[in-house]
Amino acid sequence: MAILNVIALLIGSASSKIAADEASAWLPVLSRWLLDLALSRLPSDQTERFREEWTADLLDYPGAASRAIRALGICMAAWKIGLANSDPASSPREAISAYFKNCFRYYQSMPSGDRLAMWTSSLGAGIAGGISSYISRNYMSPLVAFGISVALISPMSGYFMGRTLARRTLRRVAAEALVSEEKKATKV
Amino acid sequence: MGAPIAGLAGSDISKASGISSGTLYPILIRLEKAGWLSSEWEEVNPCEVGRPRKRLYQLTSLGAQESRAAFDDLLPTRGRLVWQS
Repeated sequence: MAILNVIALLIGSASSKIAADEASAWLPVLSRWLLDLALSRLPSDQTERFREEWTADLLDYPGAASRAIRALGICMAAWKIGLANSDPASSPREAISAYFKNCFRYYQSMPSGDRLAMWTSSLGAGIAGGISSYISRNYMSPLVAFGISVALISPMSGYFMGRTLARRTLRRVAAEALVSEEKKATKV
Repeated sequence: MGAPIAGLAGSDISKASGISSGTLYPILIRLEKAGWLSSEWEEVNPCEVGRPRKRLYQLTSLGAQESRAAFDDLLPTRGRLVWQS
């Protein structure tokens, strides 16, 4: 029993070291990817300024994890700045057209490694969904299988659809709020 | 609202105030547009220091005046008697 404990301890420590090594190798990549994503959301005339400013900002934090967290915050900041600078779409047709254009433009701007990762993950999620629906015929209700499939597939598809739709919706809501405030002000 | 400072980078302000970057930068941009803050690049050579230049933010005279007024509004009893005996 003691030997088993020692083996488990060795495996545990080895795997935690591998996990730590993996994290330390991937976190800088994640930070850079988040920074690029943040910059892609800004108006083109502000991109260069914020690339330099935010890169310097990230380098002010010593740890890879703290940089990744900071980069996530920067992403949020860019989203807010982009939202404040953007004009709301004038019609639903334009909004839908802009949505597909944005998705395609974003896909084109992705590095080939990211594209491969996207397709691999989508394929993996699709296979997992297929397996879960196969299992559902024997062991679980179709509703549960459907939930699992959606939960697996939605992160990828939801990312592309959600990011643009959410931005458009928020812009429209913000614009409507602004118009109603202006109406109130003119009445007063 | 301490003593006037030469200029602070976003990361320094974040560390000093505890405000996250997601909240801080939109505020800095808005205050800069409103003329409360001015910003300029750090005067260093990136090749010599081995990192990109920082953007340093500084309170303008308008910003100092307006922020002082806002601060007074938040603390109405500042500089006055709280009660009379």
